[in-house]
Amino acid sequence: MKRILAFILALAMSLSLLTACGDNANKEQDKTDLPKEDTANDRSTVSKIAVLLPGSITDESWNQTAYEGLQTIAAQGYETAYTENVGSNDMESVFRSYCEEGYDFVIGHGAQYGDACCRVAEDYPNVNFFITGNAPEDVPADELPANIMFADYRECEGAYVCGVVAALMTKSGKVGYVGGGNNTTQQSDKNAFIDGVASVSSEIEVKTVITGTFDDSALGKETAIAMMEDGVDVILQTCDHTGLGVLEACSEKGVYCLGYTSDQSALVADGLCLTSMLVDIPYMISSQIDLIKAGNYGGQTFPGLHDGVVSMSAFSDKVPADVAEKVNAVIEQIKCGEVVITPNYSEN
Amino acid sequence: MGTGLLSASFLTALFASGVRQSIPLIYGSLGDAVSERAGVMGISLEGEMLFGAFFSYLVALRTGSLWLGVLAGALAGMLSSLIVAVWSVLLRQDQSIIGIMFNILAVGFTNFLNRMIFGTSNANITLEIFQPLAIPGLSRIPVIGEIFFHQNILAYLSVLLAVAIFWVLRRTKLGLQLTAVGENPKASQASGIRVYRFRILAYMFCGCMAGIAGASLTLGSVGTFTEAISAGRGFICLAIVILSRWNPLVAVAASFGFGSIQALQIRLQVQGSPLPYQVFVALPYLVTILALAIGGRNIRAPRELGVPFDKESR
Repeated sequence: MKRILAFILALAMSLSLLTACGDNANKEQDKTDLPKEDTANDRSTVSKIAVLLPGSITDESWNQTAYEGLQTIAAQGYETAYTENVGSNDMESVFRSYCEEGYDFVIGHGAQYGDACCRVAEDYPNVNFFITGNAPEDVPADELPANIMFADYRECEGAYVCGVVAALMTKSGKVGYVGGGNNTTQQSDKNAFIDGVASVSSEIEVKTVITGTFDDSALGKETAIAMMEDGVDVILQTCDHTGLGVLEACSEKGVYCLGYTSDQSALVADGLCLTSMLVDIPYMISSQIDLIKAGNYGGQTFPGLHDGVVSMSAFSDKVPADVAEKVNAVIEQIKCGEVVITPNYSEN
Repeated sequence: MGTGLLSASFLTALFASGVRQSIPLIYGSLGDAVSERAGVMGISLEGEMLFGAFFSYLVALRTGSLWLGVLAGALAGMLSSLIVAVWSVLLRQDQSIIGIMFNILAVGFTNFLNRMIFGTSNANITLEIFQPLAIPGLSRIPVIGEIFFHQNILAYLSVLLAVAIFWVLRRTKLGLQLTAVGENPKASQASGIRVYRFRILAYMFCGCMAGIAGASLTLGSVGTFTEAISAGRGFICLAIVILSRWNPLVAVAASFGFGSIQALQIRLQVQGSPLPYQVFVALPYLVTILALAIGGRNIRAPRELGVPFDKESR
């Protein structure tokens, strides 16, 4: 009995593996049959949309907002799907399986999906791709596949403004940044935060800790506590679940903090969350549908504060009016191009 | 920098954080030490911790009682470990494989339950966690008092448990029987000790401890359940148990060591350094590997650790 059961299970497993083999055979055919020039027209219809997420949809920030964007699209009648926790060794295979299943708009939510997407996009010229992040830097712009849209959205503009807020609100002269690490968007956030602080005063120290994980809320809490022991009194976190621990520590100890990707002021007591840097990911994702229908979808765009994709949430009551005025002035300067924040991806 | 790295206040805060971060590790490694003595590896600690974390949060939230939450966490860990115990001991399957698959199941299942019950947004329901309890008299000792005697009740409980387990293992008949089961189950079975029962009960104890470890994360640290909150701590416990040679008291010290290095790497980053952050993140794990390499020379595991025992074999 055990043997029969084991045999059936083994058969089921092998059959599921065989579907992957089948894909490779078809792929060869696609490459030779379809000429690349003719695909612009084919790509302007959308019916099935999928998103690859680096984390889980309950993080109150990065992944959850993409999920919400997907829900908006689904409400308009499109068929949608998503996969969470897609790490670097799964990226390419998940992209390919969605393409094979007939999805015509596939989104990689994060700059880290760029390389895998480039490899896959060449094999599926009929599928539209979107990456919420900058294009791979080692590839010249004209060699990027034509069917990928890179939204090099300027989240760092929001981080810069957070730096300004932190610098104006600190009493101890020390502010902190807690990051999760590992991709270019995070690095540009950290560097922009430091620049924002420096634009107000060069005397203020910025303490940065990269926790290396987006999932460890207990570690986030201890990190924030360590910073507070060093005298930090305003902290920006950009690390999803780990960041929730940071906010919890700030709430407990009565320290100012800044939110990330969505308005996190409800998570922190007493207006301690001064403001949050918002990225309207739902809008960024749902607005792509119209662009696809317009045809010739692809290339690079640079959404930011100027078009409302990046914005700041309302200030809490702890922010005095004169600080709010100065910060709003900086926001206007960025919007009209007087102050230009170029993303700095260096790790140190 | 103002106060300097070796100042009393910096070290006190660092080690106090080290104690806080060691609490889940202590519970986990105590449970694993008992279970491995009996011959069953605690690979599924991570999953049991997650079950404990989730259910302790759920019950504490609904009942308003933190202690009921801890109890629920312990029960959840214990009951979930029953699955692994039955497969590993009674059905004699490979303990590593069962353990790893259980961990994968636990992540998926707790995430599923989390979303089903709380929707995709529960981060704003934060509980009032266990507060630090100052031990009268002892907490006034300079430095040491601040570090060790100003922690929450789960910390004190973990140390008391470690002493109790050490005493049971070394000084009681029960402890001797447990050790015998792990060293020579055939002889033990022949002399009347029920090997299967001992192993299953030892493993359920491990699950219970892992559940409390999970509860210490949600009810003693963060105050809410976030997905995958255990973040690999269960696996660190496995290394700690080996490093401490299955001795509960040394396991407490080793857990404290790991927790302190984690606290140190954070503070080193705060101080600022040209080194890439990955060096700091890896530091606690590097030190663990080094410790195992240096101190792991004459480590003698329980002889039949990980070997399924067949009652009927000759």
